[in-house]
Amino acid sequence: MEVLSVIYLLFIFVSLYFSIFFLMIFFRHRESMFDVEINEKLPSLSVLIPAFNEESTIQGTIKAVLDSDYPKDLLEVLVIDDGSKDKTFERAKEMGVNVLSKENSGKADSLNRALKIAKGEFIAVIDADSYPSEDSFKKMISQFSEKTGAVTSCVLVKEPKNLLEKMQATEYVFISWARKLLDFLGCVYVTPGALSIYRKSALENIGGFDIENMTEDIEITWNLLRNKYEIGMCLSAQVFTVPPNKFKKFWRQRLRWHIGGLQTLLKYKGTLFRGRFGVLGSFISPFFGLSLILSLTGLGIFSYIFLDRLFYLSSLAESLYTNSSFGFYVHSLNLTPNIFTFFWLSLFSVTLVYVYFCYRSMKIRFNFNNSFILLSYLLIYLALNPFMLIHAIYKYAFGSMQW
Amino acid sequence: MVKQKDIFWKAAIFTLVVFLLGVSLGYLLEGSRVKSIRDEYKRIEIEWADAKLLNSYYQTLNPFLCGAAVKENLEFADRVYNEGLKLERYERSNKLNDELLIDKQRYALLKVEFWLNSILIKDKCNVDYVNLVYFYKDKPKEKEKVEQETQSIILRELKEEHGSNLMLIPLPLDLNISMINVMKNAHNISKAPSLLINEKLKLEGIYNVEKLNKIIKEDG
Repeated sequence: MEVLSVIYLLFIFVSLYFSIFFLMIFFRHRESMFDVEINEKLPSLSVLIPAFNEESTIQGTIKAVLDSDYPKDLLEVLVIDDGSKDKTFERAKEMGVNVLSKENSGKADSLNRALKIAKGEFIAVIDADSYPSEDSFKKMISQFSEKTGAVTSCVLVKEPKNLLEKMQATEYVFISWARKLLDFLGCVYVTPGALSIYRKSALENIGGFDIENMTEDIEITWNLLRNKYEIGMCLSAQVFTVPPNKFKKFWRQRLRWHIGGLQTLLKYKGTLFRGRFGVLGSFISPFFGLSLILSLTGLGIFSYIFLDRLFYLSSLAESLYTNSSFGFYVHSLNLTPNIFTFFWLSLFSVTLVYVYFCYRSMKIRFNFNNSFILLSYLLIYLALNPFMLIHAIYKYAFGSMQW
Repeated sequence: MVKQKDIFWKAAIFTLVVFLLGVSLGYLLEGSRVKSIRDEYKRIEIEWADAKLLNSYYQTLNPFLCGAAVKENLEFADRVYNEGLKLERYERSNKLNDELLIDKQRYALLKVEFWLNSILIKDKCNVDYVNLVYFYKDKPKEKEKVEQETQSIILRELKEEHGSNLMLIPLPLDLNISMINVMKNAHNISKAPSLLINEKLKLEGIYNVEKLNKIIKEDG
């Protein structure tokens, strides 16, 4: 068997494994995906909203927080204006909440500064363009156990309009669903900035957010895990966020995520396959590393096959043209199915089963529109990911990380 | 610690089962293709033996039936040619089984035998069809691959144009078949693709339909 065939089979095996793995977790916990028992006694909660040039959305975010059903006497809202050049500060002030104004130094530093003055026993972090549902805080707080360092929410897209936003909405649904599945294994590896709640003492114990990392929400999670804190996920606590609506902005956001992921993986490389670091060493860092390898291998295989065929067929077309022969036979394309065709079909079928249960579970109905967006997501959107990763590796390697 | 560790190995076992089923299915599929080729070959071998007997009869006992011998030979040529294409297509799609080397050698031998028979019939019956032997490589290099595919397509066009008047016999240069090696040396064929028209004229490289038509016309 050729080397490429072996790599190809390995790639399919690993992809198939993870699809089956997630489906098995789902079947075991399908009845308790959204379960949460609200605590009668609630702790004090400080809501930190770091903002940079968010004048158009900041009031909506503050309003959503103030409209929550969390007891007002236990709730503190603190907006951190990270040196905005627009009217973010004024807009936040108009809402009657505390606003900390500072020079621009990044989100992680803004949060660290706010952490020093926040009075709550727990800290909720919300992006200034995200809108939590009214019962989110209560549900998330109720999910904390003694060992829990952080609980994250179900991040969804707010009113998606164009195709790019709709594809991101599809992605966010899949991500939240998969994150909940990982929660059953105690393997949540990120607490997204859109809405996550942290135990203040845990944040203080680990020294707060890493100001050097481009995705402080991934880094803080790994740091908590390394320090033996557990991370939870509450699927019924929803927060709606505004995704990038232009391709350029979207690409930049994903580059930042990938670079942050790489930074985190390298920072915690010492935990790889080390059982003493708990889930971080035995599952999360290897899983993270493997998904990078899978992504790049997939792109490598696809590019090799595609370019090889493209080169061959274009050379053939040129040769036929030169020799005045216009009969371009289908025979040259070799459309006879082979074993890989069946494996791809199997993988695609398992993916469809996965999508079906995810949609059913998240109460999303299948219709023509959804199907079209789903197909675009699976065929176009996912295919972009390895290219973003390569771009991110390039940027990370050459140190050009200005945002 | 990771909770519910059993899911990891249960998923692994389940995946392994699915994967092994897939691989087994692949082996079965590829095996059945190889089997169908071999069955077809056996059938062709019998047909060939039958055709040879018929030819002997026509040529030795009843020389007035040359037309039937030629027709038989031409029909057989098309079947062998199409089976060869099928074999090539199946081989390209086979990912698990080893290559079909022996089967290809057997086909090549059959085609050599057929070629010699075509020469004989042409001589005995004094017919004017063209014997065009196409020498190619079974394992071509990248550049040769494009040239060979181009020449193959051109030859298929030529065959469609000439129909029964053209006996197209593709022979592999690199399958280590003595008879082909002898012909290769006799006609000084050093590269693929090469063409041999009516056992006399050797052409190396790519020749388009117009050029081949002109050569065939001049040669004929």
